[in-house]
Amino acid sequence: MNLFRSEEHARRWPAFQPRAAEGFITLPELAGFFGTETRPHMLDAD
Amino acid sequence: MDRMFQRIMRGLVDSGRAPHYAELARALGIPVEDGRLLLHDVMQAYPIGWLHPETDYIASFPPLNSLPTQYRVTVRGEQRWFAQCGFEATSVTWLFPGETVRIDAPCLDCGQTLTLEMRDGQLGRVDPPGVIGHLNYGFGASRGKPQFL
Repeated sequence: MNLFRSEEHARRWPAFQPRAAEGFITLPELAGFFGTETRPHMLDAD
Repeated sequence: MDRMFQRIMRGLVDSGRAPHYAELARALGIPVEDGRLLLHDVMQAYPIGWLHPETDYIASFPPLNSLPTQYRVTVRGEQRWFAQCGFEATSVTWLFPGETVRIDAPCLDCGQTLTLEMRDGQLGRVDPPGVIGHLNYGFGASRGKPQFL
């Protein structure tokens, strides 16, 4: 899973897989995706 | 397992490197070999991380990586950490509450740096503004390779 300067850059990446066209996600979506309930507690005692 | 998980994560946060199982065993007050076996149990229970193949060395324990990646993490002006991947890079913020976490990485297309800053889960500066995440094998059923690729 990688970050690119833009979607165009990702599509120019030699390893880009055409079948992965659905694999784009914006940074705000990504931050929300990884901001789920468990994530802020990774350092907490169980 | 919970105590070892915490020790590994805390070790990564404190030093930027994952501890060895012998250090973990000592910290937990258990025999070294029990520490090694417990490490394998932890990694099985946390399959998004992995040991370096054919070793007992922790290579990846997301969101951080002990093995350097292109996702350099800077906190308090110190670049000591690496994120597992671009997606996990946005999760590192949770390990440093109240701190600004900066991620710098080269774009795999052009090699130019991209930068993002986060604090307590919120995005701050993003340069360039169009930075985007990409999973090369898509989400869901089309995913055929390990998710870190």
